[in-house]
Amino acid sequence: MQSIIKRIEEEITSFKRVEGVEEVGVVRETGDGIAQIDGLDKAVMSEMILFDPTFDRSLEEALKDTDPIYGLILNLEEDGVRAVILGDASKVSEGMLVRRLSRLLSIPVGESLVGRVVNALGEPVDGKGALAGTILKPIERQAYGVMDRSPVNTPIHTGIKSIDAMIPIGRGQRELIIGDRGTGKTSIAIDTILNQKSEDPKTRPICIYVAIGQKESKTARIVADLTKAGAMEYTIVVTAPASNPAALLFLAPFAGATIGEFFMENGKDALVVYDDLSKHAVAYRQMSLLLRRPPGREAYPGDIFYLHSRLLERAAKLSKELGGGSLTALPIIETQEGDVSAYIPTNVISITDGQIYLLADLFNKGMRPAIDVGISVSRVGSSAQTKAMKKVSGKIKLELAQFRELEAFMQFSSDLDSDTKKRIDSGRRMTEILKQNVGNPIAFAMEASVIYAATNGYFDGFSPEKTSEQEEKLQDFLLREGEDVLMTITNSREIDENTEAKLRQKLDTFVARSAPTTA
Amino acid sequence: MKKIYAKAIEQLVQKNSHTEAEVATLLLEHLRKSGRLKLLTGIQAELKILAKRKENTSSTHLEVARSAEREYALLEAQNVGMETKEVIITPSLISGFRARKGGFLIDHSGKRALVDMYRAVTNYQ
Repeated sequence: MQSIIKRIEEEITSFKRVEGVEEVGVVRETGDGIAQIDGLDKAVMSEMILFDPTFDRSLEEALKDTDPIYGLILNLEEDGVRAVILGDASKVSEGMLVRRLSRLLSIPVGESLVGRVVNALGEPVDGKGALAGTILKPIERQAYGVMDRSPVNTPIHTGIKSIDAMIPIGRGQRELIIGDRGTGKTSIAIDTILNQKSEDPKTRPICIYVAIGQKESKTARIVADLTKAGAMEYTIVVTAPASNPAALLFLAPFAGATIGEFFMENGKDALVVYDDLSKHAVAYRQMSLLLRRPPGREAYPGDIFYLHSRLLERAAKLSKELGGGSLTALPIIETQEGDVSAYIPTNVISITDGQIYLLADLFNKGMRPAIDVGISVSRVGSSAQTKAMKKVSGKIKLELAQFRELEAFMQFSSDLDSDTKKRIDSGRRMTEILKQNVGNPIAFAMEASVIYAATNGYFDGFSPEKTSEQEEKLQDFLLREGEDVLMTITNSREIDENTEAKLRQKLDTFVARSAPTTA
Repeated sequence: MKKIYAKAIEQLVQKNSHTEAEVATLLLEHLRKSGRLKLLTGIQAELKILAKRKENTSSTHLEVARSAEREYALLEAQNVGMETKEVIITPSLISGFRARKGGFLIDHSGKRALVDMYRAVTNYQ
C-alpha cells in the first residue's frame, strides 16, 4: 500500500501545469466523424488536436469522462480547419473547445510492442496493460532516399514452395498479394509470418500484421493462431476493424509502417502485412468525400495513388551506414471477379516490386495455394534468392510452362506419344508438389530438398496422384534420417557438390524403400 | 448559395472598398435584378452567424472563480494582450482564471490543473 501512495505522490509532485497561451478553436459543425473548426489559424496539416469536453463542465462532471478525443487536421481552409475525429464522434458537439497539440500525429513505438495487439493509434487493445519504454514517432514521414538504401539481397522465406522457388521475396521488397475474396491471400501472409519461427532468432524479422477493415472475429482468430504457433513472440498486430471510424482505417497501415521503421532503423529486419489496401482505399475515399475533397475516378480522391505510393515507398533495405535494417511490405489487394485492371489494383501493381496472383479457378480446382505462377512475378527477389534455391528451382518454371501448353491435350491421353505423356505427367507431379496445406509452411532446407527431388525425377516412379502422399513421406524421411543434410543446407544456404551427393544418397534410399505404384 | 453571398459581403466589408450601407444597397439591387430576393432571409441568417463568430473570436472572455481574483486576472490577461473590462464569475473554475481571445486561451484555473493532474496520474497521454 505504501508503494502505491508513494507512486501517486511522485506523480502529483512531478506534475507541471500548462503555462502560457494555448491556441484553441471551437467546433462549428460536426457529423459523420468530421469536425469543422473555427480558429486554429496556425495549425498545420496532419497535426493532432484534442477535443476538450471538460472545458464547460464542472470538475465533478469533467472527471466522470476524461477519455481524450483526438482529431487529425486534414483540411486547412480559409475560415478554419476540418479534422477527422479519432474516437467516439458522438461525444464531440458544436461549440466544444479544441486544443492544438502542436505535434504531428504520432504513435508509441518500441520493443515492448512485440507480442501485443494495438489499435491504429498504438494503444493496446489486448488487455495486457500499458506499453512500457516506448517513444513517440510521427506516423507520416518521408521515405528513405536512394543514397540511404542498399540493393535487396537477403531473402525472406515464406515457407510456401511455389513462392520461394519461383517468386522469391527479398528483405526490403514490396510484393503484392492480389486475388478475389476467399482465394487465400491472408493465408499466404500468415504462413509467411509463421514460417519466420524457423529462422535464426538473431536474423528473424519482426512481423507486423495490419488488419484494415477486417471483422474482429477474423483478427481474433489470426491472433489465436499466431499465439498457438508461438509466432506472437516476434509479431505485432495492428487492428482497425470494420467497425472503427474511416479515419482509423486510413491511419492503420501508416501506424504499421511506423512500427516497422522503428525496428528497421535499429538495424533489424521487419515484415509488414497490409491486409488489405482495397479496404484502406475505400476508407480514404469515404473520408475524402466527407472532407469535401473533389472526387475523381470511381469517386476516389485525386491523391489515392500518392496515398499508397508514400506508404509502400517506406519499405526499404537500408545501407550499412544506416544499420542495414530492412522493412519488407506485403500489401494485399482484393479484386472483384478477378479484375486486376480496376483502379486500385492497377495503382498498387504499378507501385510494388512484384505480384503474387491468386486465382479463384485454381482454388476451386483444389490447387492450394492458388497461385498462378505463370503471371506472378518478383522483380527484385531473384537477386535475394539463396544459391541452394536458385540451383534447384531453375527448371520448374520451364517445366510448368510446357505443362500448361500441353494441358489441353490431357483428355486425349490415350492417343499421345510417350514424350508428350511424360511431359504432362511430369507437370502434373510438379503441380502436386507445389500444393501445400494452409498453416503449414516448410523450412527452407526442406523446401530445397523436396524441389530438388521433384526436378531430378525422384518422384517419377510414382503416379501423379500419389505424388503429394510421397512428398509427405519424403519430408518425414528427411526429418528422420536426413537431418545432417538439412542442417548443412540451412547453414550454408547452398547445395555444393558434397551436399548434393549426400542428398542424392538419401533420396535414393527413400525411393528404394518406397514401393512405386506405377512405373 | 446564401453562404457564398454572406461570405462575399463579409469580404467586401473587410476590404473597406465600400461602406456597409453601400454594400446593403448593392446587394438588394443585385438580388432584385437576378430574381433571387427569396435568398434574403437566408443571407441575413448567415450574416448573423458570421457576426457572432467574429464577435466570439475578436472579443476577450475573461472568467474568474471568485470575485476576489478579479483584479489579478485582469492584470494577467492584459499582460498577454487580452484586454477587457468585463469579467464573468464562474465558480466551477474552483480557483484562478481563464481568458480567451481570437483563438488563444490562457487557462490558469484550479479546475484545469486538477483535470490535467488526474489525467497524468491515470496514464493519459
